[in-house]
Amino acid sequence: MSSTLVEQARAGNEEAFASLARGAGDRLLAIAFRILRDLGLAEDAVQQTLVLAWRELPSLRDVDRFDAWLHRLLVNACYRESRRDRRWAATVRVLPVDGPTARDEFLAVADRDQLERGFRRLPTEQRAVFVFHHYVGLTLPEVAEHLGVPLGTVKSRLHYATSTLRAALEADLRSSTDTSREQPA
Amino acid sequence: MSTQRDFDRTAQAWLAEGPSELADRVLDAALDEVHLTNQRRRLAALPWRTFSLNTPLRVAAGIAIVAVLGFAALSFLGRGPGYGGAPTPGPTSVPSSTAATSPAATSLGAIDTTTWATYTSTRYGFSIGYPADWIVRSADHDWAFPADATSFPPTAGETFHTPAGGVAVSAYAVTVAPGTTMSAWLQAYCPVAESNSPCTALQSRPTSLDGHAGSIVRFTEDTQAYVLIGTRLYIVGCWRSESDPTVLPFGGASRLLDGFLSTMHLLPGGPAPTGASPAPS
Repeated sequence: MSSTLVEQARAGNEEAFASLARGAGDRLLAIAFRILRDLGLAEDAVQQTLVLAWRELPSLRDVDRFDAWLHRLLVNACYRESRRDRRWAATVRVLPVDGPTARDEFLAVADRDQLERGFRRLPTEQRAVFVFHHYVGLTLPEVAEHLGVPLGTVKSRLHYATSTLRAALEADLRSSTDTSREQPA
Repeated sequence: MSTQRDFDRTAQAWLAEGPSELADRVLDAALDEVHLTNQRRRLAALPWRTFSLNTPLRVAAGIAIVAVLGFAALSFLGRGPGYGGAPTPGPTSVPSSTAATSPAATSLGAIDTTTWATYTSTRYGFSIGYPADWIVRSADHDWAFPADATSFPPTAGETFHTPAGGVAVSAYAVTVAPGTTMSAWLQAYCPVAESNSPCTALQSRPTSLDGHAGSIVRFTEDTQAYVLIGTRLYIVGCWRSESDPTVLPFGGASRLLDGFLSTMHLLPGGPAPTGASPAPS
């Protein structure tokens, strides 16, 4: 991220903003998808974020905090998209994701399914903390800064998210063990 | 899942899966919309905030503002009629008395809404007119505080904007706790949503919606009408300041809001009026 580009965009330069958007687009999409688990919603969230960022950029005081500010806008857009998703959840089937993926072949299929199911049960606020910590790689204080919430809230959300997902994985493990015991000798 | 480290490794491997490239069509659509969207600019020293100025400064600000308004009005009037049949104020109708006076309805009369189209919001229980050539964006969820308070215009609002996107007006409603007054609402809302605006001694003036009294409140960057009917607060926001050049063809944001409010009616099945509305804060 170039501070000069941010300053130019803040002053109303659309080309500078387009450069920033191109530079940030992939990262925003990746984060939004991992929070929302739906490509269409993630794309909508990114589009909203970029338009809102352009509109509100003059209010950004410290250009060096552009990335954190952009992440906050993205997370708020994800919250909105998540509400929209809940409204349609009863009638909309989640389709397999198209596009490039980086699949880890060593991740067990069962683990993948359990994580997916467990993650979808999490509130969006907990998902966001989990993604920024485990996917973006931010420390907890950095997550707090990017999401604009107190550190204690971040810790709490991460704790609950982790507990839920661990429980989902362990339930699957127990289920597998029970099944193997029931098999005839 | 024996250890936290195992779990972290598994979670990170799972999170690494999935798309990581933004489609060009999404980026292009965003940049197209950016091209039609004005940036929100801070206007720290608006004329109607004269309560904080001493007398010599007030006089100087008055002269400066009158000059700016006159110049801006002349510039815009040279481009022909305003959007949606809004009467175009002549140069002499721009107030020249005090800096605190808006270019609104005081001297221009009401906006002509006879050619406006009507939009019905079953979500919020009202119908509202809008200039027929404006674009409508329906609300995609119920407006909630504080989640939607920092979005301008809110996607939770029934929003109408000019074809070029320069001016947008949103209408929506929210249920408030019994006993909530306009002052209490503004005390909670303003610090959250209007971070660039002073939240004390906000200027307001009376207005009405379908026979119910309300207030138009001027914030630094936008102008909003509030009508509290029982525990239902109806909000119509123009996402421009009172004297923003984009709303000058309408005689100011307040006058434009008055135009929208004059066409607004509560649906029979909507929230029933209960008791008198509080006085403007």
